[in-house]
Amino acid sequence: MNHSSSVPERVSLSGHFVRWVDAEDPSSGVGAFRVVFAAIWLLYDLLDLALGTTERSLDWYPHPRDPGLVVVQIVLVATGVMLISGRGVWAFGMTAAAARGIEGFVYFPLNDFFLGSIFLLLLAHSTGGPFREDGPRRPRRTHRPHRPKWVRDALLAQLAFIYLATAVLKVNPDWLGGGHLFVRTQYMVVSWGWPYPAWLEQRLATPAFDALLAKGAILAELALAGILVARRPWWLAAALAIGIHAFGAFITNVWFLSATMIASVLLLVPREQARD
Amino acid sequence: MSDVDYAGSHVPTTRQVRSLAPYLYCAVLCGALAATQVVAEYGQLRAGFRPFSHAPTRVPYSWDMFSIRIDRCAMTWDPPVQIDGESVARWTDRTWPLEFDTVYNRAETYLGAAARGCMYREPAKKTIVRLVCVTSDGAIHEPQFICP
Repeated sequence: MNHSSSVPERVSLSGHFVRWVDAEDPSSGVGAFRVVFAAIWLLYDLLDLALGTTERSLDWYPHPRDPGLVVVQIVLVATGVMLISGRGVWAFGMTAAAARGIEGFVYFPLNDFFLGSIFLLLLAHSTGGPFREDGPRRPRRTHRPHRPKWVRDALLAQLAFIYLATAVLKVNPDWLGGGHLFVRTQYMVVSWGWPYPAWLEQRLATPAFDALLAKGAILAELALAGILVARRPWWLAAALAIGIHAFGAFITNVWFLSATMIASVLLLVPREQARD
Repeated sequence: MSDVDYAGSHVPTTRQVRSLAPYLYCAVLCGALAATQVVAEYGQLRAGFRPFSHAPTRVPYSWDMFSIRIDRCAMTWDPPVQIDGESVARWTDRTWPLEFDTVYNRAETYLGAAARGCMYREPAKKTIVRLVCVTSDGAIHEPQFICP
């Protein structure tokens, strides 16, 4: 062994962590995702505020609106606008995360709200967080916007965990037997006359077919979790995300979560591994 | 490495103390996120979830979307009830079709909600409440009752 050549630098675990926190993300994917995510949920919150839909989920019969919920919805609309504009991302993102968490814990325990609170918490740091956010001391004209790499890494790890956890929790008799999908799809037929193609409606009414779809969904979610950990290939991640969530949107009438998950995969998974 | 602020001037200082803050902050934030979700998954196990055996329940941050056991019912009132000055024959008459449908997870909750609708019936008429309930055992039940 030639000891005169340069010796590889040994970096401690804390050193790796410091480098990771300091690292810049070469991609603008997180910023784009912040804007798309905020736009999707701004539309949701505007509709929710105007139509009183969460209020009606709490009580379908006539009753006065809960002023606390209205305040939360107004805060979400205002912070959504600010997150799209890209100003005060940390302050408004953290406020939005808190408001979404309150909406989920205090008012209506929707998984969309819990997921939104975590995404908002991480996206609040997409320009550096409380320590290095772009601001008056870091003028945009002279510096490229700060884009911490750890935020994208954390978002991708979060996404992978969500797909893994939701796939594992689906390994139960109700889901595997097709019962859950049977309930959702037959309700859509009975209650709304949902426009499934005739051939599909006929098959969805068969628990055996629903069971087949259910098992396929678990495999697709596990595969997507694995791809999110490996961060490639982008095209397969995109195909799985679009397949899972376009199906989910049309079959089960879940649109905003579906759009969010598709956008997250398309914008956060690196398109070219070499540039990451 | 020198300490230079964004305006370009030298910042002498407390760098050793101050520079730890962003790393501690990031560690605490990521650690709290991870811990929250580990606790949530443990909460699922405590609530009875067992793979291949028992379905999960709703536990925040455990990502149980589409995995809990659910029932769904459609309901009608005949003749229609009067709510907010409008004639309401079906539950869906007062909900938004895309995304924002008002749903419950248990057939019993739908039965209670249907019975509550009797408060809005026309007093002089006999009102029949009909439900079509879909359950995860692959069955469709059609309970009905007359408003008391």
